[in-house]
Amino acid sequence: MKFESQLLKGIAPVVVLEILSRGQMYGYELSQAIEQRSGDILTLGKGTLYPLLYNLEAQKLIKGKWEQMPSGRKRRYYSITSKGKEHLARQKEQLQELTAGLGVVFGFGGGLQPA
Amino acid sequence: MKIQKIVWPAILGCLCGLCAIGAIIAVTLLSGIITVEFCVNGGSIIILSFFSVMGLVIGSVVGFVRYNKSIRSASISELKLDSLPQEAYDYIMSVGRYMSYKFKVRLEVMDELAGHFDNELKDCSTDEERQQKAQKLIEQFGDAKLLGILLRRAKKRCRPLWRTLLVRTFQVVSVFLIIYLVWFSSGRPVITIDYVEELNKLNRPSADESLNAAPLYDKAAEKYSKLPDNIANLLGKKYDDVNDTDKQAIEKFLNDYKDAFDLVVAGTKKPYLWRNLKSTCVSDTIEVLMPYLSEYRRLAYSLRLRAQFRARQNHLEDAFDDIKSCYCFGRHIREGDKLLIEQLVGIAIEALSVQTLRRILGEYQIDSSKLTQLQKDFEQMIAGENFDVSFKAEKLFQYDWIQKCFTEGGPGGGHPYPQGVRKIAQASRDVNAPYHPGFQKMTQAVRSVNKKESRFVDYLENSGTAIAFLLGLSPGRDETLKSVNGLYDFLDSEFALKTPAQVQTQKTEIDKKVKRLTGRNYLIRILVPSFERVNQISHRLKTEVEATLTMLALLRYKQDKDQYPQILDELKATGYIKEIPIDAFSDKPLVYRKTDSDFILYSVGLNFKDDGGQTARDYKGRVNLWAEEGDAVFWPVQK
Repeated sequence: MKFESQLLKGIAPVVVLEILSRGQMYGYELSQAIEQRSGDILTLGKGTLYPLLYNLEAQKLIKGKWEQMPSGRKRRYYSITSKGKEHLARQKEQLQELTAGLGVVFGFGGGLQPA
Repeated sequence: MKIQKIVWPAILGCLCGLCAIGAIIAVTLLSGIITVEFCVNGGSIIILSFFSVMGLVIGSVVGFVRYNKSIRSASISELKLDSLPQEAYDYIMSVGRYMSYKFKVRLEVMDELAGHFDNELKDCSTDEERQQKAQKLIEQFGDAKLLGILLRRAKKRCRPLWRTLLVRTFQVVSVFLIIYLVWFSSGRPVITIDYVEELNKLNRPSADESLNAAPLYDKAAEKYSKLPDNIANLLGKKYDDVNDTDKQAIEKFLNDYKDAFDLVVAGTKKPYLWRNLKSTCVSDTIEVLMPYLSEYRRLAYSLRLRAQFRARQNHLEDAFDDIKSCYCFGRHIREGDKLLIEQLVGIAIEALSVQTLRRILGEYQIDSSKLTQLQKDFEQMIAGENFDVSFKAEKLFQYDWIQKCFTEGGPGGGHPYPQGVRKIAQASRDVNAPYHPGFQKMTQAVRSVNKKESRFVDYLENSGTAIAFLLGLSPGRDETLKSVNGLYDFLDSEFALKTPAQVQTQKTEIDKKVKRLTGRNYLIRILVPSFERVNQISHRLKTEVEATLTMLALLRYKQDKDQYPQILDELKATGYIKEIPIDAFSDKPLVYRKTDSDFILYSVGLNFKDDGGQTARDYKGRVNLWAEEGDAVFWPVQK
């Protein structure tokens, strides 16, 4: 199942930060990881990925560094910063609350049933 | 960076610039558009320097662009984009192009995108599969232009704060600069006051118009308008210096133009000279004055020539009449609050008169009664004469230029108007060029004598528009008016009353004061007269007149008492002179010494020091009463 882009847009930075919190990755690897770890539910458009990474970098939530590959090509690896971790923790808390709230409204996993 | 890749094109550009302007100068010189004098005077050097620097700059820029282009090509080839399918290559290049950002950043982004494509395509076994997969990935990335824009925005956010601030500041300043330039270049002066009319008002006498000498002088000048060239060339010469053929021509001329002489003499009997100046347009202030001065100058030289001729014919009294008429004529032109150029022409004519008189006194034996009468007449003529120069009309002249060179209203009361400033530059350099060369010299003498300011005038003239921006930063109309008022009040109320000797001793303070009043306002500085020189010229006349009267008294004393007095005080004590003549260049009495059978009478001259009566000479060694070095020796009369 694919999400509407507007819905995904809000949580895309959190998703990227969450994945990078488990280890540094380069752009292609990151896009693959998002799809695989979300069971193909979350698919970040390729055209969105790189601008998103640069925006996160501008906010100093992640940092990138170039590494030389044996093939001769360079790769830019992104890793989460301590500021990024703090930001992620806050976002996760809010998401949890949002999920709980949505559960109540829509009756996911018990609680009040919709009218 | 290999510097020679820039240096060689720069040198080549410089040489091209020099060759181009060299060719232009040669063509314009041959076709007569510019003169050799212009080239020799440094005009060509300025242009050559300008074009060589322009060539150098253009060459450097071309070299740098070419070098930069080669560096970029090499950097892109390092990305190994060739290993990707053509579609992917084109897409990545398009994204890089649409980013329109710093090359280094674009290169990094393109490298990252190339890596992404490489990873996606690494498992493809055939070219067809690679192409299909690349095409699919391109679709996933979306429109290259949109991606480029998104990437640029994101990368811009990565800039450090100081850099963002710098860019924003630059943008704001640029916007203001553009607005300022539009405002600056769109301003025009508003002409509200006709200063020619103001000049008329300043000098308009209350007396009856029938007492005005101007109609008579103008009528005489009209007769002179068809003066033959050979006579016009003889006017500046002394009668005794010309050959017999020329003497005959002069005699004929004096007879033929008797009517004109009579008109001038009749004019000198009138109490005043006032010309109602009529301008064809308000920019005419000074131009309209010049032609009449040129004609008047010729009339004065003619009177001198007739005086010399009459003296040679032994008609000394007639000669003295012409000399007196000449003096009155000069005084008429000068008196009142006239423009400086008029005052200077008047002074020159008065000086011409007394110089001619001294020469005649030195050459002819004249009896005491005639000398007495002559001295009496001269004393009457100069009674009440104010030798000080007036700067009132000159101030109006400055007001006129301010009116033409500044816009009206806005910050500072208006800003400089480039075309008006260019006009000033031309006017201050060769305002009288179409008229008589004598005026050209005179104007140069009173304006822009400072070499530095002269160069500034050239600069203004040659690149008036380019300098406009700089002028925008120069003082506005209000401040310029304030400076002009301050300066001319000082010149009229303080400076004009000082003798050259006082000016010399107070030079530092005067310079400081003038500098404080004019500041760095070049517009005023190029228009302000060389007041020191003007002051000297007026006091030279006063000294010459007093010296001439003293000479008359001394010659009379000799005839009456068969010897010259020991000191000038004896002349005063015996009633031959009313006051001891004062040398304005020393503020002491003129130097008088009795010699064996003669005497010497002199002023210390322009170097302000007593050289023991050594005659002043110019740099060519010719006798020149007011040369920079030596004394102004009035007697013995120098040949």
